[in-house]
Amino acid sequence: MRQRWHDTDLALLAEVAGLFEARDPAPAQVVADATAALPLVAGQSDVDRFTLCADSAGDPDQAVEPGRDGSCPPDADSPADADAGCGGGLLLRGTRPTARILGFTLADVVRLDVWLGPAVRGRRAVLGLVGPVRPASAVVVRWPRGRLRAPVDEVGRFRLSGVPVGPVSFLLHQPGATAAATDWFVS
Amino acid sequence: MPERDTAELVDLARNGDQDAWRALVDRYAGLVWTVARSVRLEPADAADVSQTTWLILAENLGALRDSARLAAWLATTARREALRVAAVRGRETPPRWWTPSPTGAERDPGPGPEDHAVAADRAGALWRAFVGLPERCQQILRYLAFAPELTYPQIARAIGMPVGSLGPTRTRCLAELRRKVLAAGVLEEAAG
Repeated sequence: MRQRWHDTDLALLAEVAGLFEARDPAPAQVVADATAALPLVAGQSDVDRFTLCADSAGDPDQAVEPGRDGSCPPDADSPADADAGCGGGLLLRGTRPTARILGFTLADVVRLDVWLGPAVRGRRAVLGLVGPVRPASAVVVRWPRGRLRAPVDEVGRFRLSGVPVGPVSFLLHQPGATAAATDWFVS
Repeated sequence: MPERDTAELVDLARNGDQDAWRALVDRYAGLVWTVARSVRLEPADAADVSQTTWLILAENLGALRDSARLAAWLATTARREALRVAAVRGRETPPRWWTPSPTGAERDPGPGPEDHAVAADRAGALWRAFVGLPERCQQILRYLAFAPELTYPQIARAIGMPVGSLGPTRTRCLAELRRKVLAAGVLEEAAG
């Protein structure tokens, strides 16, 4: 279903695009960061991919944009919502976050939950839980200009501090298994 | 690099061609940015959404099912992430929603050479007409302005509205914009 255009429509839209490019252009640093994205992730394609299955920020596909009618997007704080599609959350059940909780699953076998604490001077503490537990596992959080690694303890917990606000991705390293990464998201 | 189609650029970028990647960024950075800003994110958050969107793309180039539809993929991905950020930021701190000034005065180019005055008037009149449209119209036209190749289903999915109403809404929005700019007495050639 491709729309039909009149030349006058396209000309008008081109003027609208020109307006935004003049009044609210993508800043040079934004373009530079986008350009740097490919080399930044080079060589990291041979990892398994976690699937996001719960996010206390809500489901954007069901969201009402905030500010439009004074309402907020759906809240996944309640246990029923938070566990949807995750096969039973480890960290989410019965909690109410002050910032954000995300749940990821790998082939419905491995589960990774992360709790992002409130931002303090642009940094967050992160608590997490991995299951099932394998000895000597570790979680790495990466961001465009750095990364931190934390060991996973005997019950699957890990803790990271000083994680910057902005794009992050988590990787789980388990002995004898391919590393698994979450998609990038804004922390 | 000569003008290449999007699918070809994606194929080249998959193999690490930085020039092709840069061409994709040049082509769609404005779309990703305007999608993030259309959710009324502050510039810093919109910048994070933009960077995140491009990082997701970079890591998923090999899995992109239809590279010719990259614009739709970018718009959908950026909007999802922008809505999540808007939801989280709304809990952390009271948002200061970005809203275009009705007059655009705060970002007007200011006094310029005399031969720029007419162009500034045209731009100002179009801006005022645009921000006077219903928000849904602004959203649709904003997406189309940066990526006219987006199809009805792609736009409908990206902005979360029924596909059946997209076509009539787009037509009505364009007609309303044209009516407003004609009423202002400028932009005759663009308004047709």
